[in-house]
Amino acid sequence: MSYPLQQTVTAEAPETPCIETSKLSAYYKSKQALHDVSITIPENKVTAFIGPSGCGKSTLLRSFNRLNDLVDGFRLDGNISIHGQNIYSPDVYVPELRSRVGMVFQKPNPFPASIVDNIAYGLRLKGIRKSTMIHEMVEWALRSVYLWDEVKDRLNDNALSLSGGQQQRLIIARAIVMQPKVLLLDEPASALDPIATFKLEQLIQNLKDQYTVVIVTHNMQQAGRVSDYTAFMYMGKLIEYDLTATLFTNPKERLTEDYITGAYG
Amino acid sequence: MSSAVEQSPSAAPYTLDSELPHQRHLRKFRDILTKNLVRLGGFSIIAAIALIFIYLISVVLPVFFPADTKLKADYPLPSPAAGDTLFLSIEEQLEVGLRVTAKGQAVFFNAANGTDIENYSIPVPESAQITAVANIDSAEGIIALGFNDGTALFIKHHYHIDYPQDQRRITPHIEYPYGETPLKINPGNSTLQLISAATGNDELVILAYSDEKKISASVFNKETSLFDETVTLEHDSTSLLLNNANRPVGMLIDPELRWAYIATDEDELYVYRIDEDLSFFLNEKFALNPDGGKLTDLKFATGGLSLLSSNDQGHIYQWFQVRNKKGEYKLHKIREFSSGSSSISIIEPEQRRKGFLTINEQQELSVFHTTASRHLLSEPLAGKNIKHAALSPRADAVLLEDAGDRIYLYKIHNEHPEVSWASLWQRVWYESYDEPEYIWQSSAASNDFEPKFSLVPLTFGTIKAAFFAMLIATPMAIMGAIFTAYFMSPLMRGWIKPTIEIMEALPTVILGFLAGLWLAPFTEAHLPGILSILLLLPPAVLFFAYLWSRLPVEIRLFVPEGWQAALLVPVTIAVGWACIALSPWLETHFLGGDTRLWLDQALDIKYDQRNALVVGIAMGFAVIPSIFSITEDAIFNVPKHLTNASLAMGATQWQTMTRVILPTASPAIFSAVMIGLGRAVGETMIVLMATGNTPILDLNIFEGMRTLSANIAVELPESEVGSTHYRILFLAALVLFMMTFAFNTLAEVIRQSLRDKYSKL
Repeated sequence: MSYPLQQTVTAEAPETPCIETSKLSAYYKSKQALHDVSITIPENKVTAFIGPSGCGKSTLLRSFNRLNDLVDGFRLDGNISIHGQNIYSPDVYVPELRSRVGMVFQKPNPFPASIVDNIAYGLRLKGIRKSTMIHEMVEWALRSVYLWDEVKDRLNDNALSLSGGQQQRLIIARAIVMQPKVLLLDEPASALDPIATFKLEQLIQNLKDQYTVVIVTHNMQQAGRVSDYTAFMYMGKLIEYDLTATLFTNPKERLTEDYITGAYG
Repeated sequence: MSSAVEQSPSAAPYTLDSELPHQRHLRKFRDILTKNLVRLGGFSIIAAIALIFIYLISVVLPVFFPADTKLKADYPLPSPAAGDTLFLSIEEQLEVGLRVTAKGQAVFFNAANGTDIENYSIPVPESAQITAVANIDSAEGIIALGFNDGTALFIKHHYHIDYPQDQRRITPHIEYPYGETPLKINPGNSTLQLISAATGNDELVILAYSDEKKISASVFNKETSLFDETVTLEHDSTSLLLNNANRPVGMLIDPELRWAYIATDEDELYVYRIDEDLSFFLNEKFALNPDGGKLTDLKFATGGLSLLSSNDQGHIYQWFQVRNKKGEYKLHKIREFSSGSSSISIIEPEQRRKGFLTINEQQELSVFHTTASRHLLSEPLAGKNIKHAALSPRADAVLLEDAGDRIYLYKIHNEHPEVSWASLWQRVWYESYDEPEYIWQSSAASNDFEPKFSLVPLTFGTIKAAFFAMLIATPMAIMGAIFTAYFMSPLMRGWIKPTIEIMEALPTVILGFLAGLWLAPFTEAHLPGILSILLLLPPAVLFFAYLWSRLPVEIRLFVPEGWQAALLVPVTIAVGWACIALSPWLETHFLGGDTRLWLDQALDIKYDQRNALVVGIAMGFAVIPSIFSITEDAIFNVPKHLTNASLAMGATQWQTMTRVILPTASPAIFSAVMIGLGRAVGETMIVLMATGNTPILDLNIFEGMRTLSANIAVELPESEVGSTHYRILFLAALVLFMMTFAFNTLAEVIRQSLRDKYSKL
């Protein structure tokens, strides 16, 4: 490999920074998954992480809400701050952090409960019991993901009876109802058909007005369609990070170019 | 990274032929074979269970069949010249019948066809006539004859069985247990109209009603000769019980010589208490049929404890002595039987069971059983106006003589009269008990014992043992499983889980042995310690956890994540040791030095060494692995994406556990508990060895119990195959089977509905 091991990539980011990492290295037991990743993710934009399988993009994403903490043998060096707050400092209350940094997974994972209960889950975790408040919040969240009209007549049906695309939007509503600052989407469309994917992408476009969205995807067209910024990762390193338009049309790195032209991956 | 693009090969290295027909057939054959083998296996299991079920039912069912009867023979009176019959009898093998006649003849005849076998002349005194006959002891074959000169003679009919040329031969004899000379009973030489007698070890007591309307009780001392075992009687005393009495319908003295009953045709019953020195005291006098009806017969049920009285309205009442609150014995009406509205002329009690038969004036034979309160049979008879009835010793045949001088032999098939729904599941008033109770007591030393077949104490014992075992096992197993599956480090889990699972392989006989021989005495000796462990250990663990959470982070980090549970091992041992060590101190300072005495006196709680606490701990130990293992698997296998979803929403681990993991794993946890319960209900060895096997109905944790399974294990080896007892043990097995069946079905139904709710994961 002809690339230097250490590489500092900085994107031009005139926007307000939201998530900043510096010299982030992550390990699963002895295996290093991230190598000195420093990235600044702007607020109210969609940032996509692309790269081949195993490149560390999901590890990076899951570090933003400390979901990796529960993985046996996971260790992290370096710094991550969200809105200037170091999220790995000992005085951070992790459940509170996670409710501020919502996450959507690859496979829709509704709880085996009603649609309402799924969305109300997070509210109830916070001790909210007032049913009028819960109902208004549920309606708002479902409207935010354009699901309200589809499910308003069967709010008490089991969420598992929804289609895959509806489920995934439900999951986003479930995250949104917590009023997070950041939404982390981990390959949210990979289990969906093209129409559901299209709807989801439209939704993501609209979400960035209120949320900072970080999306991990295998699908470069998707990254091109939905994101404002794109980071290309390879073997645990951040190779290139730029405006999406720039990165796709005029990549600075050969590796990036090979990847986005489909030479490997 | 040079030329990262790989060239895909143009052609596969081999070309695959399409499958040959025989290969295709082979594959298809294997497919069908496997499918059918699996199907066969499934059906075999269902068939095996069904067969067990059918077999159990087939053994149990005869218990509930009614009796039936069939006329076997009828023939004219044998030796009619010997005179009218006074007494009729049939021996055990149903071969030889006996009639004692008014002319003093004992006529033995073939019971099957009426041909004469042998005639004995009874040495009736010259110029005397037989005026009274009494059946004194059916089992011994002793009858008493009273004469018109105030004397009485005891005769005994006896059957000698031998096997010349391997053929059974029955030779009847008449013997005279108290000599051939009649006893002088009435000083006044008046005619004996009715007599009755009972023999104790050293005494013979005779009740006699003379034509002077006097009822007297005469006591004779028995003296057995040292040389030839002949018994001679010596008159001791005679006391007049009633002067100017109405004619008695029945006079009875019980074989223990404790009570005498005289019932007159004016419906009065005189109850006499007999003292140790054989003096008579009138204990009660009352009307037997206060609601109308005329007394027609009075007999003892076998054993002489229960009195059976019949009236002309078809009712039979059972009475026995019951001690009231003041400690006085009063005759109490226990049960009523009815054979229709026709007057009952004869009551004939069975000799070996608490049953009896009656014959009424419509010539109907009815069979009853007292304990089971069962009316087993009512069947019209062939003869007209039956005068005499003799029930065979095994109660399998009855010999009847009617007014037309014909003898009828009826076979009676009545194998299991002792059992009824009421005697199995309801309170039954047994002889010598002060009130109706649930009692299991299947056998005793004496022959005329009343078997007590209540399944209630056994079912209760089963549930009690299972309840206390589950009380101890369920929280420990489930909480342990939650911690192991979700919070423990994988390395520690790798040790803990197989260790607990291997506990399941421990033979329960060893657990029972340890529980009965070590834990039970240990618990008895250290009861305050054991109880304080149960009370103190949970708060001690919580307190330690709180202290731990207050320690500086540096110290806490010293113990790796998921290993904190190991810290509790010394805490548990220390608390346990301290409690046991403090036990004697607690006992001396707070419990008056003796816990058992204190429990009894201060709290009125009885303490049994082998009790439900010991069983609960031992059986809990046996049940924990089943529940733990299934629960742990269920919790561990809750899909990661669900827990991640919950955690990503900002739930704490505990919130995730209670709101996502436990509901999702609940069907399996529920089955785990039910499987544990099924095991606790069916468990035999531990309860057999650690409960004391006392079939009592008491929720007290310090008392023992007897379970259905232990009862079967204890009693089946010693019960006679095909007997009522044997069949009831099978019924107990069936109840056990149905209990586990019900538990498992319920568990499966609930599990299925829970699983439907969580199925699409």
